[in-house]
Amino acid sequence: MATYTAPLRWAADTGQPASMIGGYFMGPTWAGPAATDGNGLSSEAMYLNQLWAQSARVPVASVATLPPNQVYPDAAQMRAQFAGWKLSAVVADTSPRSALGRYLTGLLGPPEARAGQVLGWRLPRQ
Amino acid sequence: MGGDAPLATGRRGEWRVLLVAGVYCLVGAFVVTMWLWRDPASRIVAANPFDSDQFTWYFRYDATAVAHLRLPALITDGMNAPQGISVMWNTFMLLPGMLLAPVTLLAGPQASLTALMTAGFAGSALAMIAVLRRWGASLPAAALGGGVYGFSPALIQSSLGHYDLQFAVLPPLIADTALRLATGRCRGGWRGAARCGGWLGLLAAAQLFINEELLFDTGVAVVIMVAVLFASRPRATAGRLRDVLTGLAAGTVVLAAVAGYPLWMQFLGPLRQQGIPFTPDFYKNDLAGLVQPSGYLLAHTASSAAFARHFQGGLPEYLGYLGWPLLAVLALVTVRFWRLLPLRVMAVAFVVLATFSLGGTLLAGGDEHGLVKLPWYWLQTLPVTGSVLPDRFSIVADGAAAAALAFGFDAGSWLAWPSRRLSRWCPHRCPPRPRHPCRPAGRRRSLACGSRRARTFSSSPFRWRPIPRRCAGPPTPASPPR
Repeated sequence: MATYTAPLRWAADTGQPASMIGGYFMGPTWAGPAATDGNGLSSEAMYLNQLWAQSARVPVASVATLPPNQVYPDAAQMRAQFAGWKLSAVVADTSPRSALGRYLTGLLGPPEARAGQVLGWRLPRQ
Repeated sequence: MGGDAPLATGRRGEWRVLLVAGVYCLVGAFVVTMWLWRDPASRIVAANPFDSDQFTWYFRYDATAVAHLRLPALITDGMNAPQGISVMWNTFMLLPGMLLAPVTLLAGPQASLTALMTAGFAGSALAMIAVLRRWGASLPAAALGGGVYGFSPALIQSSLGHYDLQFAVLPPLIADTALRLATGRCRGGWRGAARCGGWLGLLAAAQLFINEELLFDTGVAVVIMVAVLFASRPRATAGRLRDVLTGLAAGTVVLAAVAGYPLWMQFLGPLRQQGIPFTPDFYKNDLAGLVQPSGYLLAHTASSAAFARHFQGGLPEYLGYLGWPLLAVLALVTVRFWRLLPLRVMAVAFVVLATFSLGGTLLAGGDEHGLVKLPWYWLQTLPVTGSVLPDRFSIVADGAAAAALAFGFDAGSWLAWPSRRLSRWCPHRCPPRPRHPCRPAGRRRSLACGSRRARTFSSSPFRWRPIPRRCAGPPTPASPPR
């Protein structure tokens, strides 16, 4: 997101991941006019960002817009979004006991890889 | 870049001069960026980490492509997967990113960006010096112009994360080539014009792969300069038209060959967009910003720094500052030497570009004056101009101001130190004043004699040409020292 670019720096310094959801860019919205970050992030991505921000003690407003009616995506919607994103892996900079770590563990099972504060899940090819 | 060699030195000597000037520019650039060089792989200029992070990602993208022995793809899902993004609609800086790929792969993208910024300061100054020398400026004048442009407040402020704008090396070269084409300084008839045009197309293509917006701004500057030139020397217009068209055709062919496909992908390919995502008439210079230095400049005060900090466009877009002293000198030399065509061209270009940089309506002292419509108001709704952030005209405006100052410096130096200059530069031509027959009027005559060494922009065709001799004296060396 334009307001939080640390993931871009991480990707630039490490070369990983080769492809990511979101970013900081100019792109068309669905209707065509240009916008920073194009169409923006989906509500599922916003929810993941919110969980991460709470775990990392980063201001939520810098990484996510909260849903106005406090309705968050359920597990089925999140899995459908993962399928739509065609993810091959989920990497989270968080601890297993954090809100994000517990949420992802509940959704995807125990992390398959762990290095310090980084958790990883490999997803079946969509 | 073929063309006219400077008056006083040969081609080889001129290269030596530029080499030494380049070393000085590089030293200056290192001084400005020395805090970054303490740890070039991780230090960034504060105030805009977001754009710096973005550029590091772009540079990694470019370097990864080079490492795989291919050109970077113009559509990538490296970001915003699975939809992806269009490289050409973003500031990917494909050319610097690819040229610096070895540095990126060896030392990381931030090290490349630090090197780019240093090269931006040094290269912009050196480019301006080279161009001014080509147009007959003395070395001190060219150094003054190069310093004012290469280390201008606009470029200093752009170094806050706007690496693509800060690397303003090519605009002076583009303007130089275009003006040489327009004024008939491309030797060799239509073939020379075609060669100039081809070089112009190549420079434009290179700038396209650094920053498109700066290319547009430079194009606007060139149009203004050529308009002033032709308005001042209308009779020469018709004679130049064929060569100019030949050059433009050659330039278009080269530009299309190099950048045609990327441009096609941008405007007709996938993920094309309409307009820009920024609020119209928001990123414009504050009128007071022309004289209020930000905290990043040495001459600032606490109040001026606070003023800049509260600028609506943010510090990286606070590009308008030039300061009272420089503006006053600029006004003075413009009025005094209005008849000197190069100075007139640059001064008018500066005024117009600076006015454009103020946007569509007046912003003064932080207050919006919506009723005061400025020229850009009627341009900002057009298809292409609507995509431009007007405050960025300051970069090319500073270039025009630097060139005007240089020409003014040369012209003024003959007024300020006529006798010293005469004794130094043309001892044989100008014998002591009282006894010389052609100088009864004292100072006025001595100026005339001195200005034989200066060059003037004669009317037909547009060529620098020494003022004809007025004093018949002993033979003089062909190339007196500068």
